[in-house]
Amino acid sequence: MKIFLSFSLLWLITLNVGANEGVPILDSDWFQKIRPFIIPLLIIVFLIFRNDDKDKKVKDNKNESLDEQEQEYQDEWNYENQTNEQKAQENLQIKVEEKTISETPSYVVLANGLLNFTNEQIEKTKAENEEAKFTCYVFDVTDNDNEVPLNCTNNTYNDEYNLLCQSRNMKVGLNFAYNDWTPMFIFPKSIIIPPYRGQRKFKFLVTSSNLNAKFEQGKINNKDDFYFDLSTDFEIEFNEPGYLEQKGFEEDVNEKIVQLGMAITYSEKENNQQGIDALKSWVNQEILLKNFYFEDEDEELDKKLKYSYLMRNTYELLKANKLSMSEIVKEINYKTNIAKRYEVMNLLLNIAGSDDRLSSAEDKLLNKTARALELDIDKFQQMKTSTIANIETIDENSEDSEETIFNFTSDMSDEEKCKRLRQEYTRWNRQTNNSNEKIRNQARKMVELTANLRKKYNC
Amino acid sequence: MSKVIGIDLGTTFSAIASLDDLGNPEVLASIDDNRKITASAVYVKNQEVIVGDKALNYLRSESNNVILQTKREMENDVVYSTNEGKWVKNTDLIDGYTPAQISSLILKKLKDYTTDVKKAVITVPAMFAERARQATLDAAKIADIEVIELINEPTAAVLHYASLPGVEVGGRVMIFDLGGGTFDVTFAEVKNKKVDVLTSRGDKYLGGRDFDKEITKIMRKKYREAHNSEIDIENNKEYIHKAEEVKKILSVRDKASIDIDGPNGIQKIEITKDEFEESIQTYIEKIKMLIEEAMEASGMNPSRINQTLLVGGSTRLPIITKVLTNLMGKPPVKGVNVDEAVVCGAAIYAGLKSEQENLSDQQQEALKDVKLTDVCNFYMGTLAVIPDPLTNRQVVANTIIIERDQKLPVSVTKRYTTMYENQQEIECSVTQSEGPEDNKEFVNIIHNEMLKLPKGRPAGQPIDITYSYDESGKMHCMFTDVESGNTHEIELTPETTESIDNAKKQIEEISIE
Repeated sequence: MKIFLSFSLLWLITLNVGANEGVPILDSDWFQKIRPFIIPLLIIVFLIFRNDDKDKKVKDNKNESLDEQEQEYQDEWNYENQTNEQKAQENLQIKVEEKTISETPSYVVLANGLLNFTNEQIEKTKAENEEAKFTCYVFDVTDNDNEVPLNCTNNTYNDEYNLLCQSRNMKVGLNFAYNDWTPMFIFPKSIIIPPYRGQRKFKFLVTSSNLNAKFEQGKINNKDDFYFDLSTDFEIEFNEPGYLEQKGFEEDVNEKIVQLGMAITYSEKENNQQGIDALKSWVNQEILLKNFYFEDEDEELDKKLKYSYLMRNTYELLKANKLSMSEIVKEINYKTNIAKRYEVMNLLLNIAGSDDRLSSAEDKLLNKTARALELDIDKFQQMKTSTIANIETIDENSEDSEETIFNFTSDMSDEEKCKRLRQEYTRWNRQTNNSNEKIRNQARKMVELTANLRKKYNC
Repeated sequence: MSKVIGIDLGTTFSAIASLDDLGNPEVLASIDDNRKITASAVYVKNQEVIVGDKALNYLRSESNNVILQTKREMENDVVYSTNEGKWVKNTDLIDGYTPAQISSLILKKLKDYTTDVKKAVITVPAMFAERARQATLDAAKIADIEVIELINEPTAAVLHYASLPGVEVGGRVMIFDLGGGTFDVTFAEVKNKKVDVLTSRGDKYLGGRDFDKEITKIMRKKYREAHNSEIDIENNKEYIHKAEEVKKILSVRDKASIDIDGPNGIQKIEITKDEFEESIQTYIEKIKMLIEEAMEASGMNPSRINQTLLVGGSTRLPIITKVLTNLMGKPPVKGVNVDEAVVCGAAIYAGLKSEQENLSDQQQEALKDVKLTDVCNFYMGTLAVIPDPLTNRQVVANTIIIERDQKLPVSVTKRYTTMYENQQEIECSVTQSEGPEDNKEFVNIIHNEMLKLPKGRPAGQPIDITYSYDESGKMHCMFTDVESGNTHEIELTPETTESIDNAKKQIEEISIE
């Protein structure tokens, strides 16, 4: 979300376009005397100006609560303070780096150098308020003979054909430049998914065009709209399943999710009917209805039977203690990406809270599953907060239920537990003002719990 | 010329102050007993109402008719039932009183301590929810008091501290405000009489009254040990009154003895300071956590805090001084009347907000250097469809426009876009939250209306949202469709709720003693 907000904000920032200031004219005799010193002097002046400029910008931006990368993002076109020598720099280049932006691991397309506009192109931009569109598509080029533009279903990062892309309009002019490596496009890592896992090579293609240019398969449609383009390759080791693999695994993964859901409903060694209903409702929505238009009636019936059988069978396995949770989680981890695993956890939390209570046994199993699915524990705790806020009862009978709610593990030090409790207190105390009475009351209970535990751990 | 008045409407005690001719705040004494603080207790029976300490005399004989801690109910949809002797959810109850009505009775009582009370500044806890602020304004309206502004209690207190001639207050200060029902901690920078608030945190369910409840639990336990029978601490309000007496004794002595009247007769019970302090450890932990949180939010640490200023009667407990000294590495500032700091600050603020022609030359001179910069105590935002970073799905989530702790006044514009082709309306929602929440369940939606958009446009039309928040807590929100210029404007002024006429009429028929 932060990324989204940062972008919303960044689009509003007026780009800093500077004028080319002249060099002072000197008396010729005096000029002869100081001639040997001119070049070293210019270098010193350049270095001073450069540092001053950087310091000033960092200082100015501190209050904006933007992180370092976003500050850099604002620094583009800051050409006015440079010397002529500096302006004679190389043409525009791009590179890709992995960075964390607003707590989100991202691929950042950085640019440096003079923009490659011709006089003729600059004239053309005048009809569009001296602006040009810069568009970045990402291609999987692991197979040299088959360049594949990456897909993306996230509307913030896709084009009308659901291809991964970003574009922005920027003021342009002759001699406009990035005088340092500056972020031009930022893609969260989670949305860049190649067709297959393993060592992959991506091509980031940045195209400059007029504002109305249209693209197809990541390439510009009409050459008349084109100004210039440049690309860079970037290799990564992709450890999650690619989008083509995910499609192939979909059926297996759904089965495993149903088994995990059943395990949650049986965590108290008896049937939790509301939990089973919540799971059935998910199967209907996510599996049966989703494929409604693509399958005939027989297929739909087959699927219904298949999942009914699977649920019954899983229940028997659970009763007989024969269901291996670690095998299920291992398979889910191999066959899904992290985003899918958060979705799975969301479902499990819904199942656990469907009877308006969270038992200690359910809570323990959820905590273990979250770790096994390799989720970020803090994010998982936030998700659990939402579940707890909407239920009536939290099981406090078992000896360690309080610790379970806050997801303490045996390897945590008391100091770490105190810190976690403080975070939980902050989270819940904020909700004591919630307009929803149920959440407000639950928040008060949770505030008491955290304070009691802090007392216990002598924080 | 009407008087410049400040009112501290507290959970257990309330007070009223005015600016004297020289511009100094003066707490006005009760006409009943000449005390400067008045118990926030109301005795109601038919058309008879007694407000203040005298109401407490009925705790033993007519406990159900004595209403205490009304401030804690200000945000709730409840009424007081004298039949049941408690706040109940049934708002249709004919003879029930709303929290705003009961508070108005207290305000009316305070108003009688002087003449010419038309306008006043009223204090509220820093973390008071919008509904509770609204109810406070309703109470003032029922009591025929025009509210100049509501001011946060710790902010008022630091204004008073900064204006005191005999007390040296300066640098970064922590205002520790532990009252009868609420706890606020505020960090501020003070230079001469200029106060810049940095951040506030609070707990609306933490105060002296909670400590009293813990003492009643000890009383119950000891009575049970002696008689093998229970005293009813939940419903008999006399016990809480007795507990308060015990607490006061334990503030100066190591033990307190008290006679408890229970089902098996009277029993003398002794409670030690250690027992009491052990019983309130959970609350002490909450206090420590809130201070830690506030320090983190304002980028402070104990070594950077020059002074700790105490506010509220509960800060008289020795354990509070001990905890603060341990936590901050130095003892808090002493020598100020902790019961009066808030109301005095409110009177000063009323002076600051009064028109110059309403102030005498001396008052103007006394206030000329006093300056206050407050912050926005909440995150203000709007609901929008955004990609969920965890699942990469589009979800309706809260997005923040004004960050918490922004100095007031502040104005922020953020650009959003329409989602789909031919989108003909957008929902203009204004949200408020204490944390930077994205989950829409965890924010309060304080306004929600639609803005109509022109037909037939592609997706991605820019919508600018501007929130402007002024020093008095008024917020102006503007949702603008950039291309068509259509706007939806919202003025979020803490105004009274639509109809309080009936509530007012009901109270007007009552004679207050």
